[in-house]
Amino acid sequence: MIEEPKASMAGGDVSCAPPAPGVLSPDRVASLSALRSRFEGHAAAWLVAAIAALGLALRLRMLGNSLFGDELSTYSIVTGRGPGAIVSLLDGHSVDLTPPLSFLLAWLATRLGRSPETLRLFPLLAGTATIPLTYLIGARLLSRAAAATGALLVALSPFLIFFSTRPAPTRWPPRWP
Amino acid sequence: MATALALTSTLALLQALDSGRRGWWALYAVASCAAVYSHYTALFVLVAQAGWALAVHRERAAALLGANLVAAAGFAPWLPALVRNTHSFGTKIFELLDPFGWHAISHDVVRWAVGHPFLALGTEPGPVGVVLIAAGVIAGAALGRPAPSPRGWLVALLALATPVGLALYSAVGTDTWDVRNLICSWPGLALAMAALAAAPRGWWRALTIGAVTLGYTIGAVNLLAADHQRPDYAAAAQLILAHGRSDSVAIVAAPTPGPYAAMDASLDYAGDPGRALERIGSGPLQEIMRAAPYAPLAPTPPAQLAARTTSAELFMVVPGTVPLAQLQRSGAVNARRALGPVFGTGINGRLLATVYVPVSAYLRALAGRYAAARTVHLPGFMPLSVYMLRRRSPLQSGPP
Repeated sequence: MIEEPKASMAGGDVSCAPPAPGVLSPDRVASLSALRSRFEGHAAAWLVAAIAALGLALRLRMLGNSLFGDELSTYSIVTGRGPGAIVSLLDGHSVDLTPPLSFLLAWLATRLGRSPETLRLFPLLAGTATIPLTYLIGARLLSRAAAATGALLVALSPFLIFFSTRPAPTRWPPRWP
Repeated sequence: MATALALTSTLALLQALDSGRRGWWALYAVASCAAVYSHYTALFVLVAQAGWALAVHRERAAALLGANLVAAAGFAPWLPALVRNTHSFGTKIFELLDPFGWHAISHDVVRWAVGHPFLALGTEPGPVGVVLIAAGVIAGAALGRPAPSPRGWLVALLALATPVGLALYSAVGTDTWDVRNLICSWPGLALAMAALAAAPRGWWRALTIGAVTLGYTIGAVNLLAADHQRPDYAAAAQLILAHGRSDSVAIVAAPTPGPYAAMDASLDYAGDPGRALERIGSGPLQEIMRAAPYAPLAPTPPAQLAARTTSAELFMVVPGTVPLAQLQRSGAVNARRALGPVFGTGINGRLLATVYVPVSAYLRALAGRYAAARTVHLPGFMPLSVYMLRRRSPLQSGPP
């Protein structure tokens, strides 16, 4: 005898009962749900990767710009110095008011070569990483649609694009050249 | 860097609160510590999210406290430097250049939210972009009426932590208000705007999200333009390399946080680090390098600089697009016309307008020994002019 669909769907003892024709068994429903979730996960991963690629492309346009303003402080601090001297200089012996991590990473990047692009390498990587990080946080706190929109805004933001290609986001007093 | 590290800290915190696993708590502590080592203003976001976690997840209070203690211990070695920085004369510069107040808040918060730190809203993202972004967010909030939730409150806190924290700190403590110091809250702002835009259902959601993203897309596309890039000192260096002789002297006039000027870096990167570079409005580089931070240094007088100028060719790199003949006559230059609406007005305009007086004095002190050979204007959000001058032969010398 075939059980009533109502019983099988009502959460009764369905482990031994075959499903009614046209009604999916709980195992099948769970399997389809997992499949859908996996598909959505893959689709979201591809979407975020595409948004991050767009953000990276927009940031690459400015990567080779001449150093300007505060970036010259970074250039001045890392040029011709090692990590110890950089930390010592930032510890109250320069016009800079910023903690040392960005400068040490800028110094590390200049080991790869001397150019604006290498000086801005870590800000570029960090700025691009901000895009998927925003998505991951948004997906946990809001919805996938809101998370993807938030990640897209981070990718497109002129403010963040500019600062993703700058070694240290602070302000120092200007001197004459 | 600080923004990405603060976001890593937020993500690790959420994972740790949900799973309780030590690995996530460890990542939360390390990322929080690294964020403050990258930029002090990351602290506002970190404090806001820790407060939220304590209020919403009291069962994790012990682990939260432990992780924050580890992060604080990691930062402890830098505390003396932080105290020195706080009492440094440099912090006073913020008050002088960009005084904190309602004007600074309203002006900077809008540029932070939808614009660019150095470009006017009229060009970046432009009026259409501003209207689309505002319309998308307001319509989303009105049509969707998102219900507040504990997790939604965290998004609001991430968005508001830095502007509110920095405003309060600047109001009651040291003035450190500056548009770029708001950066750590930008992803929170993006999520808050996205939550509002995505709140309606069906086609309305598509419209509101579309309006906001289109507004930012316009800004991103505008940003690709040549006159929205940084000042092109690299092109000036290439020009000198291509058209100058090995003994041609480069002369630069523009404020820099220094000690090096933009032309130092550009000549270095162009493979010409040994080029003689004179500085109008400043002392010699060696003197600056030897001096203590913030030491007031007298600039080399333009007449003295001109007296020691003997090379056959000069390349003067000056902000703005002022005709050389005008500079030879007078240093009274309309900064807005010369530098454009962004750098020709406000604090930047006042600062850069002072460039032209010593430049003009220097040109007049050359006393006709040099003749204009070529002028090149280079685009950027602060345009540059490169004036190429050639030494006249003794027979040609005369008044300028």
